Amino acid sequence: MPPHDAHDSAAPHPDVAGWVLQALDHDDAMSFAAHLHQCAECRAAVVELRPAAQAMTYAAPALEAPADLRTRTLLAVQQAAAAQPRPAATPAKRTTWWRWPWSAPLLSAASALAGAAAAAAIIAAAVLLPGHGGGLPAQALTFHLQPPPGAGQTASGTAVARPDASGSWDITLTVHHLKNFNDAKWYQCWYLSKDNSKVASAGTFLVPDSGSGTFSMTSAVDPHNFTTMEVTLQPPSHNGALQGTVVLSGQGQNT
Amino acid sequence: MSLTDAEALAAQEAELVAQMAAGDVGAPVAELYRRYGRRLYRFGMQVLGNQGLAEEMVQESFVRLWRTAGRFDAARGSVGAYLFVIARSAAADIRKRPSSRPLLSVEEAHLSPLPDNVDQILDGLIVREALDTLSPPQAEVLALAQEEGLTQSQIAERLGVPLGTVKTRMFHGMKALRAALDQRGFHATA
Repeated sequence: MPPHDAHDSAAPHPDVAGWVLQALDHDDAMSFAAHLHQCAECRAAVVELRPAAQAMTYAAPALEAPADLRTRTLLAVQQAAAAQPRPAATPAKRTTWWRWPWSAPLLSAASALAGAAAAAAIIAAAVLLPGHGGGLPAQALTFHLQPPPGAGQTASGTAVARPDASGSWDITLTVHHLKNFNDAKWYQCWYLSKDNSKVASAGTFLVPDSGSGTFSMTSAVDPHNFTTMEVTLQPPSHNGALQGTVVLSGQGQNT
Repeated sequence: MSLTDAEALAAQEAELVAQMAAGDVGAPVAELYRRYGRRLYRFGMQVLGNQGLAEEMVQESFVRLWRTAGRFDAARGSVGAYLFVIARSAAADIRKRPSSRPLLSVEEAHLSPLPDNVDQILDGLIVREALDTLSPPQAEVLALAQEEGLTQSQIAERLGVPLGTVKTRMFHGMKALRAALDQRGFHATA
């Protein structure tokens, strides 16, 4: 590494990055500070890089979405499409039916987000479930929920899924004595196919300390494509696991 | 990225939405999820603070995108911006939903109101995506400096590499970050 006063004048000294990140060791920082007074190139480089260093301070956490979220998302759209014919396309109106609340840089950034183009992925056939539709009237389903055998719990619950006017399903879930599960309060509700090979989220809910309550959820998933509902603890960490511990389970019945 | 490239990408994504509007809920949805799924999830985690709710928000956003695909007007903005308008609305609805906070006050349920600094959150997502484009060695030294406050010599010791290597990685990492931010139309000011 060349001393600060001897770097190639055609390019800024590499310590400019450490300077803007405040990561230079004491001696290097003192030396570079003195160098900055004499080097217009490095001063320009500081001006160029400092905004990027500042931007790093509010970077979003490097979270990764659960691996199965893609499948569940595609399934949710498929189910919504099966449950409700897509509204006919209408010419875009000039009224402000949706607003642009963000700044111009953000809008162009969103356009730039896409990155390199890639071949469109095809939804795996395994996740494509037959829609119930077919002109048949949607029917409400009731799930009577009990703890798994041997769980040693006294919890119970009932969930009723009813179609709403928009094509989604309103789920009313009543549970009793759901508590003392490692102090977790967040639970997730799932639909499962007969062989458990197909799973879709029906919603997430909070349970008070009493462990009992009635909760409303909305899901685009048609419950008729599944046989069972399960209530699970939400996985405690962001580990991509599809389900946490099962606390309640029951099969659906037409009502 | 040249303006032509940006316009081409915008047109490509608008075409994907048009395909959804025409009834294709397969490949176009999968491709838009590939492009935006992770960013939407991160947005959901930031505004909702819960993995399950964030996942619901992502699913709901794409369902709403399908439902409104026929009304999307590319002349008014990009698909990405439109999708985040939808996501913000979905997040607000999830927050208001009784089942997100049954029998508990908002404070008790640790759900603060939808933050009014959504723009800043979205900026943070762009910065994170720019950081994601760096090479792992570059990203590593920047993270150690920024997140752990280590000096270059401490980083060199931590990684077991020469000090000069750390300086070089840090310099090129910052240059690459600046370029990636510029590419995304992000113009931070010091």
